[in-house]
Amino acid sequence: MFFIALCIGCFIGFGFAYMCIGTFVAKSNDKGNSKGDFQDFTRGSWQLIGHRDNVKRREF
Amino acid sequence: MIYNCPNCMAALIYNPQYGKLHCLSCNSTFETNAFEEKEKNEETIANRETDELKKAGIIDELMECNIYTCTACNAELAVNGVETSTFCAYCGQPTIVFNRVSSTKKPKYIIPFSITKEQAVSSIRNHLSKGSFVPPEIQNFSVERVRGIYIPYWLYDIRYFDEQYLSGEVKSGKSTITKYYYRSATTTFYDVTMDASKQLNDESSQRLEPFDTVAVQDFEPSYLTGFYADCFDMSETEMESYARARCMQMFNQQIEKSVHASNIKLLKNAPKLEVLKTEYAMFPAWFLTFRYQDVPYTILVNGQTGKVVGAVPFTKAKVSMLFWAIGALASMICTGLAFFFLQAGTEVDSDILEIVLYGIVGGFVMWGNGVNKLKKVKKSIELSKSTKMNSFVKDRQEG
Repeated sequence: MFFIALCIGCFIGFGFAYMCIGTFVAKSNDKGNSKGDFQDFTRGSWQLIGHRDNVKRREF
Repeated sequence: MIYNCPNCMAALIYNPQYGKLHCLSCNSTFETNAFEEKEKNEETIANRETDELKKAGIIDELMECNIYTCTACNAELAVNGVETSTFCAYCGQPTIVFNRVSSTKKPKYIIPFSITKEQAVSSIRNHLSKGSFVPPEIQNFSVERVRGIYIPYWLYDIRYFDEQYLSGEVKSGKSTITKYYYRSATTTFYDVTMDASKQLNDESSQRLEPFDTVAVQDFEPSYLTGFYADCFDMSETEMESYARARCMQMFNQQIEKSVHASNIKLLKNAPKLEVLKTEYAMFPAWFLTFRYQDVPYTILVNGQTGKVVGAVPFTKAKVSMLFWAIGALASMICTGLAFFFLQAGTEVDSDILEIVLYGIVGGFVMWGNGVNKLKKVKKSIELSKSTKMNSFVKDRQEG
């Protein structure tokens, strides 16, 4: 049982460590990697006119 | 064309700090439109010369020629094919090759530099010194060259309307079902910036965004003094398809945000795009190059907002040490928790299987997340040290 727990623990633990490293390195060494986005270009002109969930497949 | 100080005849340079033309010799300042009269006269002479050349039938030959004469010292000056503002390689004077600006399409707007060279360099130093994984040699870099360059951009106003049918997966109890959605929306994209220079990587120029396009000013050649500037070599029609594709991508992402499901797929749509306006503009950027392990790296700074763009290599020893430290600590905690849950769930085999499964999936997801982030950093580093970027900055005369 302990061996299984150890395997799972290492898997999650080192997966988490890799994720942390990715985040830290990106924050430390990669500056300004964002681009102009939707908000920058539309100046609040977005209008959602039609909005329906649960549409039947045969409708389109 | 060169603007000389009326007081001491030294060359004037546009100073972002004052927003005026500045004489470094006697410290006088002048409004950017103060030399309009001179400009008009020069333009008239240039037009007359162009007409004469047209009559002689040699204008095409001259357009191909990249040798210009410095108006300050009369030396012959080699200018990059698409460059419109440069320094003389011999006397170091800021010389605007004014005929070239007026003979190609003149920009309608310009965002003048508001960040000085010193501010740009110190901003980069500040950013790099804060990086925990930035090697000390990079933190104390010595500047190889700094260039203030006006990048040519096409600005598009695009009206967009679309009706979309999408599918998405939602959880229903323990199973996942596919649902279908309908959305219709409209928006107008204002001043979508597309860099019109083949030499500059699109990825790098887009990272300089956003520019505050509300603050654009009417183009005045005097803003170019003291800086480099390129003419467009991608026409507005060539760039329009890229602008449309970019708007489409942003619009679809926005639609997806209104659908509360996972694995969203666009099944059917009918986009209607209308280009309302296209304008030619020049936006400012500082390009700073330094060397690390004999490889040149170029970091960019938005000349209007001061945004720093670029990535540098990381110290591998520090990164691997932190990885093992976090990994060991997190593994110990997770092993303890897993052992506790496994012991609690020994009565039912399916519970043990579920814990193992969650552990494996969780580990994979986090690992994948880390891999993606590091891949992005490596891609950014490649952009900063690309030879294309280096030559974009290097292929200019020394100031």
